[in-house]
Formats: sequence, structure tokens, C-alpha cells
Amino acid sequence: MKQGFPFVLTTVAAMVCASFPVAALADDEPSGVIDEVVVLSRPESSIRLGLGFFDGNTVRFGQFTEPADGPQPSLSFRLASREDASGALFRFDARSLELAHREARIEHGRQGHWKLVLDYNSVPHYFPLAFNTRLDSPELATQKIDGVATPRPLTLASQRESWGLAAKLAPSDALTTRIRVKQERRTGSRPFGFGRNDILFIGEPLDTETRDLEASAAYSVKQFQLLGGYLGSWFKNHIPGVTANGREIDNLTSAADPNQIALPPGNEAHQLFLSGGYGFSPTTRANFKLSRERARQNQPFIDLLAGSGFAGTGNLDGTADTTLMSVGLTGQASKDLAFLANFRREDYADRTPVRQYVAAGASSPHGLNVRFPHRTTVGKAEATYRLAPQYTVTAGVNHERRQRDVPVTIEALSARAVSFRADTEENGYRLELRRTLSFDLNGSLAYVASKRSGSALLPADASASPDFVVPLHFADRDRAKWRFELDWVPTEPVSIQAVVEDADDRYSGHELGPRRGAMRLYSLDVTYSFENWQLTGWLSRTTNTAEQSTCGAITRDRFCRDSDPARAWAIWGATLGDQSDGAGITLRGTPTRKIKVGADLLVTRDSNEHKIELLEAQNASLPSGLPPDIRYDSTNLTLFLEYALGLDDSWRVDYGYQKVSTNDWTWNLATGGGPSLYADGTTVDMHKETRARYVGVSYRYRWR
Amino acid sequence: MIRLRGLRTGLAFVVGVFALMGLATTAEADKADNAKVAHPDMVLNGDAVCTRCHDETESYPVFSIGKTRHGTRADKRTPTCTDCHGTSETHIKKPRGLDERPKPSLTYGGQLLSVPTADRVDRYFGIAGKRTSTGVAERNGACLACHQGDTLIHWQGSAHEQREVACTSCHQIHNQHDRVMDKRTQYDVCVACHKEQRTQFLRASRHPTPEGKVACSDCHNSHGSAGKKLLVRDTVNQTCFQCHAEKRGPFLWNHQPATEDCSLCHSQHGSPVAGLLKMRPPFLCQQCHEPTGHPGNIPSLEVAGTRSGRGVTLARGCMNCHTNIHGGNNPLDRASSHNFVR
Repeated sequence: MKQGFPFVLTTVAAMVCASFPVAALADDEPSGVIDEVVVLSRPESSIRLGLGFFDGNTVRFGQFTEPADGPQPSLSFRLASREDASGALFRFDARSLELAHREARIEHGRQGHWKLVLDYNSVPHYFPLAFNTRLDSPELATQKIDGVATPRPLTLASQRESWGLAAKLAPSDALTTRIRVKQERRTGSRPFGFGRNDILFIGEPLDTETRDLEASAAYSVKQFQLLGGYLGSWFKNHIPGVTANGREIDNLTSAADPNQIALPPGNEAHQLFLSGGYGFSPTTRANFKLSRERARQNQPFIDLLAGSGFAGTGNLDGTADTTLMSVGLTGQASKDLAFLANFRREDYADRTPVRQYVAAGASSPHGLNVRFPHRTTVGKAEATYRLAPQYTVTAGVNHERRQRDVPVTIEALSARAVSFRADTEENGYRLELRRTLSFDLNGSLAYVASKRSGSALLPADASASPDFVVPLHFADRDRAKWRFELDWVPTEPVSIQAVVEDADDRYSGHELGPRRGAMRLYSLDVTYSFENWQLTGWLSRTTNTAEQSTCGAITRDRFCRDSDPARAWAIWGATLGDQSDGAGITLRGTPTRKIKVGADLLVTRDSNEHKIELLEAQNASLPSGLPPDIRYDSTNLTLFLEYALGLDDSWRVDYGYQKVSTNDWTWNLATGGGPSLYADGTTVDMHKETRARYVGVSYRYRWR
Repeated sequence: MIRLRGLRTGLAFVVGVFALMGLATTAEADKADNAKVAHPDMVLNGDAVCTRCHDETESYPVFSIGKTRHGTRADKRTPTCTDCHGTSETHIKKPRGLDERPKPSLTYGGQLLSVPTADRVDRYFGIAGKRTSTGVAERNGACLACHQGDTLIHWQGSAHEQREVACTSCHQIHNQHDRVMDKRTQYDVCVACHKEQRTQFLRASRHPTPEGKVACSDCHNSHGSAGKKLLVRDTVNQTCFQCHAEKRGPFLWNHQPATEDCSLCHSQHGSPVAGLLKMRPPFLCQQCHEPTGHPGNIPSLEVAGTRSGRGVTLARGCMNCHTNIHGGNNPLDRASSHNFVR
């Protein structure tokens, strides 16, 4: 990570601080008088200087900031001033200037007339995995799998660094125009893979640039509003492909075999949009949006060696158009009856020319590029009736239809890897009873149900077996969901909020594949206020369950079922559970006028269950080493004490502690007595238990 | 008779005294009203009618609205107290005969006052903006009178509007630091109601939202949109492409679900599986893929192999080999390029 840049920001910050002396910000006030009204009502500026000490294993604690060890300074400030006579505003916010996750934003303008904003943001991501590998240069296009003689520790990280400039101009009260440009650079490397006959460890080199341009104009009067504009996005990848040298990977045996993986190609998108709303009356309103986006991808293909079979042009010449039309109407049919209706149509048309890229044959039954255009139509109508001053009942219906063109490339059975459905339709309804506007008890009870079906299935080329699995998003599905919410204030200082949710999906119409999905949520929040203290606490449990089945690998000689046991595979099922439990306690208080204290304790446990069983054993048995359950526990504690020296300056002490423990086996690459996953001998430490602590001391000064 | 006359005289005296007291009270009220007129505006244009009573001693920081954009008096569009709280005639001038002063015309719900506003966490649990008899539509109407255009065009009909979420349930109008407008604190406001997302963001794989580096509002327009789930862009994919433009394509070899909806495979608010995957591979891939060939293999940590056992279970699972799973652009005449391996 680059370290030089923070000093540039810090210097800029110091210069701006110097140019906005405290006295200047209060120049409207009588000299020497700090009026209480000024203190309470003038925009406030502040600066915080601090020093933190980090200790322990901070790989998880700092995965989106920066794993740190030892002392670390910090500088954050907010400058805010307003010139009352003209309404000119200036703001400069900067946070964590010395750190990898630094950010800054400068805003200057005259409210209601114009505004300029310049912002900078840096988002690091350190992967909490410690590789021990012989791989060299994981951030480059050419990587050497046996690049170093003996394995060495390696941590992968990426960083997004972005600059943005925005301008707003309001020529009149009704008209506002905006323009915004943003440039983001992403660098670093993240875990990748290289596999065919062996699986090898490589990094995905990241060196990309994304540029955005947004220009819009908004017209707004009392009854009528319009917003139209242009959105542009350009993505450029400076590394079109990655090559791993040093070990044979593919079936190609040439010494010059590039073993090259194509990385995401550059692309661009241009969208025009127009949205608006019209109020027919104070309670009846219509709105709409129209947009059309064209995405282009014509990045040159990666260089291939002669004889690779490539027969196409130099680039894909890819074009995809996305069109949206959305209209909505809300209103009040009578004093007690409100209604809502909306309609939405989205069309994704992939207009990329279909060309012969390789010869039809073993590697591809057609040799053509593949595209998947589709259209989605959604309609919804709802009515809400007020039964009594505090009670309403809502009833609604909804419809969604998704139409997919059957690509020429999968029209032939032999070209379909999975089954395909050209048309799916989902119809549903919703009922809800709601109590509102009560001082002590509010809440709702809702039931939502829907049914999805569709056109005839185009079966997959299952070679020697029936068509067993229908993809999750094509399959027939019955969905039912309950939701109960309660807001209760039993006595003035106590507030209770409870949520219970229960959702169930059942899949049908095919023999194997997804069978059932379920979600349960229980959540309870309580807050209690006394004197100058506030104590809040919450408990939550979410469970997700999925049941599915499939059968062992079908080949020309082995089937899911066969009268000859020697030719039959096992049909097996998996019940996958994920349970997230969390509890939190927060305390805030001001025991004296000068002292503020706070504490947050957060405890979570995430449990993943993988239950595998044979549904029809045939002559097979389950393999050894079935995936065990996984547990991920975390405890987070933060404490602070703030002591006010005067009206505007204070000291603050922060303490933080995080413990994470897990028995996750995902990267257990050389345990269990089996062979290592990576043929190059790379091993990975998942940091099964981490404890991180920090203590920070900071000083804040405020002025206005 | 004499006694009756005396009684009448006494009654007349009492009535007279009370009448004089009444006159005096009226005179005092008039004096107060005159004083009201003389009271200067403190923070907003035309706020004198309110600030003559609601002054700097208020436990709720009424004056702090001056620190916000609503306090820019040079901007003629900025409101005064009564624009948002109603003319509140009976609150300003209590009608005779009432023991208690009526509330202002529009009230926005009580808040627990004991802890300074900036440190309060009561809005986590939804008290704010609920303890009022003013209807949500009426409360929001005060905001929509000015803030209806631009990115709020689709407020009416949005999920939040339909579920009677008040603007002030999320926004702190009188605070210079409005928690929901700050990336670092916005998350706390949103998960106050979105409990499922609160637990999802505590999982091992997630966006850096609790750290304030990716805000809920980067993906969702809580004020309504033409997209699903209040997404800022028209489709799920277009929203994801804002930061993940490399997935946009189109590609030479497209993966069908990736062209349709990123959320078919990804749980964007958090997942126990790396890459925000909804399910661990190979189970995720087996939800769609036929058992023809190797996709039906039973996962194992001990069985060797690239297409079965450890090869599809450990590390990146199926993506150990199928690295370009979002779509490949390699024209190499090999099955490995069509199958997203190269």
C-alpha cells in the first residue's frame, strides 16, 4: 500500500486549517462575545488528533482498514463555515488521513445556487488468509508458480482509490443541474485459481480503472417533477490476461503453451434516463421512469498462439441494450381507502453478433459465442383500508413474468449443459394488518404467498440419464412468508421491538435439485432510559435452510439408476443450515456534565451445518471426509470515556477488543491426512483464532 | 332580605374581583403578545413566535437547526419553525379554559431526552418519530412540500412510504450531524429496522458497511426508485456494476444466471461463505447443474481429485478451476474456455 499520499492530504489539510482561523469563523458575532445562541446555532468545526496502539492478530479486525501492530497516529477534522449574508457554505471533512482507509471531502457553494464537491476515498481489503507458497509476483500478469526456491509467507490485498468531482448549479428555484465525474483505480491481488489436471495457486492481478460520468437536470414545481440525464461508465483492465509459468497446467503440452487465463475485458456503458412525477391532487400521484443503456465490450482478445483454433475477429464487438419502463400510481379513493398500482418492464437485449469463433467439435458443439437476452414484466396492485383510526388492512396482488430467448447456441439438445426455461411466471398476493399512531403499541402482521411456474422445460443434455435438475431460478416454486412486527412502549423509559419472520419455499416438478428453502428470523430489541443513562440490548437469531439432492457423476457407463448395480451411482441429498445468532448491549451516559461514557458489546455465532445422506444408495457409499459443520464466533467490545476540558475541547480514551474463532476448514489444504489441494504445495493459514486489542487517546477541539 | 342583599353585594364583589383579575390576565397576555412581536428572530427567519419560549434552555436542541442547511437564512427557500410544525395557533396562544397547552399542529414524535442527542441510541429501536398523533403522511407532507423532486420522485409508492416510515424516523432535522447522512453511522440507522441485514453484516464475508466504507445508500435509494428493493439503479446487475464493472460484459462465453441477476448466487449483505456466496460450492453449483460429468460428485475433505472430493470442496470450490465464472472472454479452442476455466 502506498504511504506517501497521506502526507499530501495532511499538508492540504493543514493549509486549509490555517486559512480558516477560528476568529474568522465567528466574524459575524460581537467581538469578544461567545454568545450562547452562536454556540447552539452556528455550524461547528472540529479537529481530532489521536494516537492508537494496536496489539495482537489484527488480520480480521483490520481487513477493511489495515492490519496494524503498534502505534498508529490518526488525524480527522471537519471544517464548516457559513457566510450568513450570502449563504455561502464551506465544508471540509477528512478522516483517518494517515491510514490506508483515509477519505476526504471538500464542499463549497452558495446554498440554492451552486455547489462544488471534491472527494477522495481509499478502501483497502486485506484477505484474512496467510498463504505459504512458492508463487512469485501474484500481482503481475506473468506469475511464476515455482518462482521462489522455498515456500514463503504471502498476504494478498487490494486497494480501491477514487477521486470524484461534482458540480451543481441551480439557475432557478425549479431547475437544478448536476455533473459528476469519478475515477477509481483498483490495484493489488486476490486469491484466484488455475486448474485442469492439477489445481495450482495463483493470484488474480488487479490493475483496473473505472471512470464514471453523470450529468442530470431536475425540474421541480409543486405538482410536477422531472429528472433526466446521462450516466456513463468506462472500465479498463490494464492486465488482460494472466499467465502462470513453471508447471504444466492444461492439456496443451507445448513448451510455449501460455497457460493463459483471460481476465475481465474492458467495457463501457452509456445510459439515458428520464423520470418524473405528477400530483393530480394532494393525495393522488403518478410517477414514471424510462431508461435505455447500451453496454459495449470490444476489448481485443488476449493474444493466442498460432494453432489455438481461434477463427474469430479481433474482438467480440459485444453490445447489450437494457431498456426500462416503469409507471406507478398512488392515491386515495376515499377517506379510508388508499391504492397503489405499478407496472415495470425491463428488457435486456444482447445484440452481440453471433459468430463462429472455433470449429464445431469436441470443445464446443457449435463453436459460436453464447448470449442470453431476457425480459421481465412486473405488475403490482395494492389497496389499504383504514378499519379504525389506528388500524389498517392491506391487500395486494403481484405478477412477474420473465421471458428468455432460447439462444441459438443452446437450441440443440447436445449444447445444453443445464435445462432451460424460456418463460417463468410468478403470481402472488399479500395481506397485512397494521396498527399505527398509538403512543404505546404499534405493529403489523403480514402474510405473503406466491406460486411460480412456467413454460415447458428444455432438458439438459444428460447423455445417459433423464433430465434430473432444474436450475433454482427456473424451477416451479411455492413461496409463503409470515412477518410479525411489534413496537411496544410499556412505560415511558422502556421500549420493546420484536420481529418474527418465517418464510418457506418448496420446489417441485423435477426429481433432483432444489427441494426446499426456509428462513426464520427472531429478533428482540429493548431500550431503557434512566436519569442520564441509556441502555439498549438486542437478541437475534436467523436460520436459513436449504434441502437439495443430486446424484453421482453420470458418465456413459454410470447412471443415476440402473438395473445393473455396477452401473448405478448414488442419489444423495444435502440439508444445508446456516444459523446466525447475535446479541448486543449498548450503554451511553453522561454521569457528570464533563464526562461521557459509552460501551458496546457484540457477540455473534454463525453456525453452518452440512448434512449429507444417501437417498438411494444403489451400490455406493458416502466417501470419507464429508464436510464437517463450521462455526464462526466473534466477540467485540468497545469502550470510550470522554472528558470535557471546557466547552469546546475534550480528551477521549477508546478501548477495543475483538476475538474471532472459527473451525472453518475451507482453506485446510494439507490436513486430514489427505493430499494437499494445491499441486504446487501451497498451504494456507486461516487464522483460526484471532485476538486484537487497541487503546486510543485523542484530543478534540471544536469551534464555530 | 338584608342578608340576600349582602349576599348579592358579596357576589358582585367577588365577580368584580375576578373580572378585574381577568382583565389583568388579559392585559398580561396582551403584554406578552406585544412582547412576542418585539422578540427578535434567533436562528431562522420568522422564528420569534416560537423562540420567545423555546429558547436555549430547551432540553431538545431547537437552536441547533441553525447548524444545518435548514439554518441558512440567506437561502430564501429554507423554512421557518411553523413551515414544518404548522401554524400551531392554539399552541402559541392557549385558548382560555384549557388546563394544558395544546401541542403544535404537527409533532414528529418524542425522543428520549436524558442523553445528549449526538450520543443517543434510542433511534436504533424505533421510538423516534412514533410517539405522536400526527399522521405519517401529514408529517412527511411537510418535507415533501420542498423535497419532492430529483431523487425523491419515486417516494410515493415506495416500500418505505407504503409502510408508513416517517422522514424523521431516519433523519435528525435539528442536528448538524444527521446520522443517516454519514456513511459511518448510516448503517446503524438502517439496521434499526432491517434486523435480518443486521445479522448478515456480522458474518465472515461482507461488504465493509459497518466500517462505513460502503454505505447502504450506495446501493439503495431509501426514498424510492424504479428498481427492485429500492435499488439506486434500474436492475440488480446495474447496481452491482457500479463498483464491479468488470462483471458487466457482454462476454464471449456468458454464464446465464450472471446475465440475469447477481443475487441468484450472491447474498450481498453478508454470508458465511467467501465471495458473499449464498451457499458453499459445490452445493451452490449443484442447485442448477445436472449430475452429468463431475458436477454431481459428493464433496469431501479427504478424497483426492480436481473434479471431485477436495478439488470441488476446498479453497474456492468449483471456482478453483472455473475461475471466470461470471463470463469468459478467451477465444481459445478448448472446452476450458467455454466452461469458464480459461
